[in-house]
Amino acid sequence: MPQMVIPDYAPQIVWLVITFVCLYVLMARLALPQVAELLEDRRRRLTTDLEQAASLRDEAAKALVAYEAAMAEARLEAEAAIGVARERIQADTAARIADLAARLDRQAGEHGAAVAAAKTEAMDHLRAAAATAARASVAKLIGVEVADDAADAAVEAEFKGLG
Amino acid sequence: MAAEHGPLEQFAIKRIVEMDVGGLDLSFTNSAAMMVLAVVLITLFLTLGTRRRAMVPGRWQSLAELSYELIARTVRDNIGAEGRRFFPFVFSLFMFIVFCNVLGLIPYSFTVTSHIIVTFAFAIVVFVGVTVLGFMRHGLKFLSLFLPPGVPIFLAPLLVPIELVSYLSRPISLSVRLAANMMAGHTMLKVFAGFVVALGVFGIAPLVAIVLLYALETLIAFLQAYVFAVLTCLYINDSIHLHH
Repeated sequence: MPQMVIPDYAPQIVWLVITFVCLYVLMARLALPQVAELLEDRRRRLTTDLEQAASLRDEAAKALVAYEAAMAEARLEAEAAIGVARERIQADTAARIADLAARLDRQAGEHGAAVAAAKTEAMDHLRAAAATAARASVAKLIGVEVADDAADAAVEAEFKGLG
Repeated sequence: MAAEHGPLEQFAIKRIVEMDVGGLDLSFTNSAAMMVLAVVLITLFLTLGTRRRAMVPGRWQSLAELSYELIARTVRDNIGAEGRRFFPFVFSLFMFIVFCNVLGLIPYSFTVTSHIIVTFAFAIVVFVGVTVLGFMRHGLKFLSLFLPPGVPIFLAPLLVPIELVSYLSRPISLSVRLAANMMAGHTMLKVFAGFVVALGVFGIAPLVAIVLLYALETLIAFLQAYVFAVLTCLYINDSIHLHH
């Protein structure tokens, strides 16, 4: 059995020690740091990529919040503007209505006064006409000349009696 | 001559360059050649594989990273953060054994790890190493490893010898497990290969068996190297943390 050949032990152990020490030094100094650096690089890159993605996501979320705030603000401003406009229009309308009403009142007053004046004038004419007619009638019927004043008074009394 | 063509012939040490320094036989043998080849291949495997430093690794780079991370994780899981110091050693050990095991599967090559003296040399280095480490870290308290905590003192006379024997048998079990696995596998392959020739046309049956055995041996080549590395980690952990 070759494993039991004692004289073969020495060269095997010697070369095992030589080769394994070489391997250890090569691994510890050369190969493992290289692989470790590679893995570390990738880990770092992935971490930064993930962080970047997270920050971009946060930024997007912030932008969304800002957008929503701006939208809400704009909506409030629009509502305020609409309210102001509505009030202004209402005030304007009310003022115009008041103005129109005043003008109509004034015109109505003016026309009323003109009607009243015309009526008074017509009544005066009618009264005068009535007095003249009354005096003429009296003179024809009984031959009495009635004074103007008396005729006027009588007509006035009659008018009053008619209401 | 018959013995030289038997299943055990493949394990014979052949001196390629005879050397003798002061009575010490330093001959460069077929075993030494395989060791040198393994060291060269491991170094090329790791350095050339990771030279391109690709962000998305190719197959070769993946394998190099995989071997690194496998041992890094094993060391971290079994020893913890303090294990970092031992990582280059465990990694070298694992790679050396796995390359020697796999290279030995190539027909007409030689399996370094099939020799008990080689695996025993590794085991004794680990054994002496963890013992020295244990005494350096804990002094005489390291001896409490032989008496698990919470055990009634009257059991000590029984348990301490058991623990002591189990501790002292570590290098033997560690080295025999690996060497015996390698030797048995290769011997079996050789025996079946002999059947192929002897049976003529019916040799197809042992040939199929060889193919299947070869797959199994490849698995064992990796598995035994990993077992060696894991046990080394566990022993180092015992020395650092005593009881867990």
